[in-house]
Amino acid sequence: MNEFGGNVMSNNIRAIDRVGSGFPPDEGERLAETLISDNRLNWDALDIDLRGCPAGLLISAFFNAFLQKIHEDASEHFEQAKAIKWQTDFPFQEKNVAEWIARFKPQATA
Amino acid sequence: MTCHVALSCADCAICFADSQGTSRDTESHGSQKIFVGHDFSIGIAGSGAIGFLLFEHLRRAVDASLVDANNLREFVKDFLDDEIQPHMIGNIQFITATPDSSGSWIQIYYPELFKNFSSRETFGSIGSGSEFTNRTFNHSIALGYGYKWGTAATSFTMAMELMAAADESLTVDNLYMVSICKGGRSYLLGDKNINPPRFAIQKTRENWPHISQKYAEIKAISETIISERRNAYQNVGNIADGTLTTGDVARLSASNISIASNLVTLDQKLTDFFKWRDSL
Repeated sequence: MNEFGGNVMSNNIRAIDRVGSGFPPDEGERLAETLISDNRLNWDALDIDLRGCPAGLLISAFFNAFLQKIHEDASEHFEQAKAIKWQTDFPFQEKNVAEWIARFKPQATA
Repeated sequence: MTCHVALSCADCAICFADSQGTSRDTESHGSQKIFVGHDFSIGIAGSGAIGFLLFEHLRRAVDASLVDANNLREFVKDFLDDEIQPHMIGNIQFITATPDSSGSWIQIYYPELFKNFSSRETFGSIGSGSEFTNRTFNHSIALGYGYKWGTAATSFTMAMELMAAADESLTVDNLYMVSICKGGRSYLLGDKNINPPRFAIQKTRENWPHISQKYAEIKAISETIISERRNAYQNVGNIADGTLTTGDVARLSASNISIASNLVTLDQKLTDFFKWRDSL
């Protein structure tokens, strides 16, 4: 196990081990940062388990901030990040996540 | 301490109650503060002894088809006259939801002050938390993001948002019981830790694990919408000093789409719940 509770060279991540109780955009960024800094992570077929995370955390701003951070700091993994499989507590969340990721457009940072 | 929030929508009423029981020395959770008849809902704040005795009387009367939305108010007043010492009347407050063709389903009764229930309203709140919910309700209207007359999903979410205002005041808990009156029927649902509701009809008590499971998803959708709204208000906050950016507008738009989509999902979930509950 690595320090975040994921297996070595794992592609199965428990989000609740990596996020806190801050604002959704901040926590989305934080999740992205932990993935980017995890050099044992296998980005192919990445599976992130969101079960147990508060419903109020899992909003559009969380996922937009997550993808924006990946786009800015690890653009080589951006397409892999968009293909992440997310496990959720409820079916409506799975539908939401798919819609938000499909709609995401990176913001210009310069 | 207690908080009830009740809101009418176009064809229904949604009533939320916390479940915290407080005595001079102890605090407990999981108390039932809402009673649901076939076509009405009544909530109590104040003395649990008086409220629970009323619930016992109501349950027997509902089982015997002696009370419904038409005579609920007289039933409560008769109960107070017959069962409660006059000097204790000030220890109890009531909030009811009964069908009304104009859409104003909510009435409040303070027996210490008045002989009759209040006029009909679209919003009501009682209990120690009501100071916070009333302020939040009025403040949100003043700022232009208040309650909008709409569907069950709109009212459910607004009522939960108002309960959160009371919860944040630290006087009530966030284990909610919810009643919904719609289409001549009343439904009870709520947190799994309020288990089982003592004064519910047998089918509700028997099926409470399933009901609370369905409530968990309904609550999660509502929490998602509330969080999207809060995030949207934060994004629009930059307008206060004229620093709103195109990025803020884009995020606002994302929240708007998400709120609309999740309100549709929530309405569908509530409809599914009513159908499932009617089929039992």
